[in-house]
Amino acid sequence: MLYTLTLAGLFALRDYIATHVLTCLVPAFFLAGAMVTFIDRQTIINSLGARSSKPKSFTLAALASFFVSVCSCTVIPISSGLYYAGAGVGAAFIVLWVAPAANILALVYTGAILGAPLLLSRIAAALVLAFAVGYAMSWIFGEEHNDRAQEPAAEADNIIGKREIILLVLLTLTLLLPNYMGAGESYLYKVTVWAIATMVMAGYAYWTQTSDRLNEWARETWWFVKTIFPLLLAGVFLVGVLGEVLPETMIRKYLGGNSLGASFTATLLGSVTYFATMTEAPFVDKLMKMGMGPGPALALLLTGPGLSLPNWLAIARVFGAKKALVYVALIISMGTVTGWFFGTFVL
Amino acid sequence: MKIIIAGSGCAKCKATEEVVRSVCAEAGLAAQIEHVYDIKEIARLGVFLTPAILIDGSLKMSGKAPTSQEVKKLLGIG
Repeated sequence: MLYTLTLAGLFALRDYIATHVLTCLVPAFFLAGAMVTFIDRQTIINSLGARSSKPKSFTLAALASFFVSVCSCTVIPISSGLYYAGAGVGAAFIVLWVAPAANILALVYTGAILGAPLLLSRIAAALVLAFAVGYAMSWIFGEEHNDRAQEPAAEADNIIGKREIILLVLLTLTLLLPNYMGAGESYLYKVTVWAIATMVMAGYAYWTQTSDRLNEWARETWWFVKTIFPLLLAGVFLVGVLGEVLPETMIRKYLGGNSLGASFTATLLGSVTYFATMTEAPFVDKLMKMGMGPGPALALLLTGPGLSLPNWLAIARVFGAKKALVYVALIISMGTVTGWFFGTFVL
Repeated sequence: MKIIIAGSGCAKCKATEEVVRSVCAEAGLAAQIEHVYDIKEIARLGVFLTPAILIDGSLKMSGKAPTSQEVKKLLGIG
């Protein structure tokens, strides 16, 4: 029994490593490292101070979150820092929600593994939920920090240079092109596309960046490899084992179709379990192949990296139990409805 | 000199503390080094991106794990 399970896990690992490492993971890690190195996150955050109009501050908070952090661990200090600096409870919780649920890295990686429809739905759903969370939180808890509020010092115009934007776009292409142009083609074809895109990107980086910046980029990339790669491998192994243990009929029964029930199950699973950034995509991929519907899949993609039990506790410690409870309840109920809605009408 | 490292307990935060301690020890610098883990306290220090280094109350670096070269520069001994 144990032998079969280990074997199933190892097979899953072998498939994953063979098909994903070069054309998905390597570019993803370089992209993650580049986001940290070339985007001035401090300037983005500074521009998010308290603003008088909610639509403006919420939009800004939601958009900034695409770039500011790639996992739920680093987002809590950012969100609490904003809150105590007077940004208002709505904006703080928007950052807390959007950064892990829909940052550029997670989105591009989702697109590479799961395809465009789920990617676009993930963006749309994350934004809709962000505004709902922002309005609900500030309606329930008011703007008690208004006394400390101050207009942000300066409009951010030095967040990122033109050359760095081009570099990030090229990096995104090294991750997307092999998986879109190579869909249905041989693995060799994929690798060729990847190699060409990577050479263009590397050449551009080499010509436009100083060696200091390149070194820093390499260091940051290595950090992501060190922290995320073991988690990814463990996750993929676990998925392989689960695939062996859980009969497909059960997955079809509880996560199949696009019913509210299936969506709720997926949302709950995502809200309680810790998914390190990027691990949610292969997990969802496997479950979909075993019969999970697209609606529940979206719900799991959204809540998986955004919420987890340890995360609830951290949020409660920083923002107080009441706000944490309301936030979690909001996400679970809205995640359920979103999964059902997108599954039924969009996907 | 008082050095505060603001870190939420992440791997990079631990690495930052190690680098700061080893640089200070190597240079024979008698600095008081404190690691602040509490996220509320970190917010009060004005830090958004962990890990961060504050020297005598002013924010010197945030959002990355520094190399020992960078720490030496911050301490003015590089």
